[in-house]
Amino acid sequence: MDLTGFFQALTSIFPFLPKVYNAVVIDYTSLLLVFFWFVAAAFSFYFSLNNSRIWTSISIGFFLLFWSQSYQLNPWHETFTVMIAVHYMIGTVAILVISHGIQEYFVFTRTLEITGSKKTIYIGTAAILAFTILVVSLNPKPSLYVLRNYRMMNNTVWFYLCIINIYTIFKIYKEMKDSPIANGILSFGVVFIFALIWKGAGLYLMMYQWDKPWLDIIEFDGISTDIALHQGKVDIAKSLFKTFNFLTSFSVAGTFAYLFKLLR
Amino acid sequence: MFLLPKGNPLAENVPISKLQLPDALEKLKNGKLTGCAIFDFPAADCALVYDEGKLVTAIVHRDGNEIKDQAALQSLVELMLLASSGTFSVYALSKDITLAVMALVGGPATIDSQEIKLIDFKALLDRIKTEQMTATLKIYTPERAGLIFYRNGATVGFFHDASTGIETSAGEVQQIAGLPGARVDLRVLADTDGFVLDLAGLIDIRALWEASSGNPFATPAPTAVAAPSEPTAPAPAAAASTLSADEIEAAIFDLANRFVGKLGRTLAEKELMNIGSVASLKDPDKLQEFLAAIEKGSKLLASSNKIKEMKEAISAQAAQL
Repeated sequence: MDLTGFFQALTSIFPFLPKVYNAVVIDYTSLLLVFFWFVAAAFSFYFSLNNSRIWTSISIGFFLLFWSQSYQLNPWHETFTVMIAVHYMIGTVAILVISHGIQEYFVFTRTLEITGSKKTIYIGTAAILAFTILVVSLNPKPSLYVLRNYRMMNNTVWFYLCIINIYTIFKIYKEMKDSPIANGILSFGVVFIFALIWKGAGLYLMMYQWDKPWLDIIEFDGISTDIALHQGKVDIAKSLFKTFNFLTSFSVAGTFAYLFKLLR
Repeated sequence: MFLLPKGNPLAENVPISKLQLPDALEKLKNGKLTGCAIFDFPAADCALVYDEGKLVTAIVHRDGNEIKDQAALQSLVELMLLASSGTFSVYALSKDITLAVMALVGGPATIDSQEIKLIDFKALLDRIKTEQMTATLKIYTPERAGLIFYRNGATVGFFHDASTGIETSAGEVQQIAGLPGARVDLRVLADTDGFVLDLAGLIDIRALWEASSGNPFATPAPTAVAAPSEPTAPAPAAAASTLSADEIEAAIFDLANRFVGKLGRTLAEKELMNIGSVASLKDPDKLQEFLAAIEKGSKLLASSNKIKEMKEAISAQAAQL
């Protein structure tokens, strides 16, 4: 989809925005992915309005994910490196908050206690994000190396929290398997299995320096790469990354739609 | 005489035959009980002391012996499976009284079976005060017994064998102290620096229960044995009224189980324990409080339609009280 005209018009309305020189073409898959994250964010927000506070953490997490994913659609996202770093951090905070919600859900199934308030979650998340922005802004403008490190940290945190979430969701399911929404919770487990493979594949490529950001960095630096020797592995990891990125966002939207049906 | 205080009764004289021990203990834990559970068997007694859902002390009195903590829990499982009759009661107590009961049940005997006439009783009371003891003073004769509870040296309550609840005056206990041959025990709570071990975490009651229940040499499951004898129980009028409340309680739990699942049942048990007993549901405010509490937790487990249906069904059951 060619959005060059739209963004050029936007720069004429808001002159402080950098000029758009290149064509802005966004492929439908990327749009669809962001749409799925939007669906997840919207449903989870709805649950947090009408349901228990525990959904608030999960809702904020998915909203932040939608935010960090949709940010990458804007043509200026590579112009402001500080903002790229901040958005990697937002993506990282998102999985932390979602995991917090899942842990609270688990505690609920064991103790049947719901403690805390929505306000605390909102303020807590805002404070973490503010702190993150402060840390990024107080430090030097991130180079491509630094941005890649931020991305690697994001993948690592996702990878390990996905493992913990899968385990926790399985435990939650065991506690509530005869409850009406048990299958919905189990679907979340599937989402995190997909996310584990998605982020795991990304992490694998980064650890062996076969990822695109690294190849971009070394393109002009004369640093050699052994990617040609391992092309098979790289191709498998790349296709896993792409496929499971799509499956994660698709399954998360599907899971929330299913939960919506179960909770109505 | 094995005497423990009765506080606010959450369950009283429930036949052992109706009890699944692991479920009952789980219920006390989830309900964050502060107080004690008392098992009364024909040949033994058992007391479990809870502090905010933590099982802090367990004791079994059997054949003149005292069995404590983990061994007491094992003994309780055996008693439950082998006893043909017995009752189970749960009493909520204040934190202060619970600490004194912990001293009574698990604390070392600073003074053991001393005849009151032979000791300086006033000096003993002064010592409790000056040393800021958290303790229980037991005064007894072969026929009577009374308890005085202390928290940090201050008296927090009195109880005797004819009490129906914690008393605030020493009158009756003083009379017991004046009886010929009265003796005294002083049990003091050991300083734990605030760290209290949860016995339930040290022993897997459910596994023990299931293993013991599955023993081919054990007597048949108590529920099956006792059920036919229920109609012939004495005091038919009182029994019928208790049974009716019990039946309604069971029906409410079944409804929660049907609409929300196993966790719904546990949730209903916990919330019912929080408001007191099923009899409290007669009060419309308590009923609303109970329904609101169940709804809050159920929102994480079932659809709003199912919760609505469950609330209506529970209200209908409660209306029969």
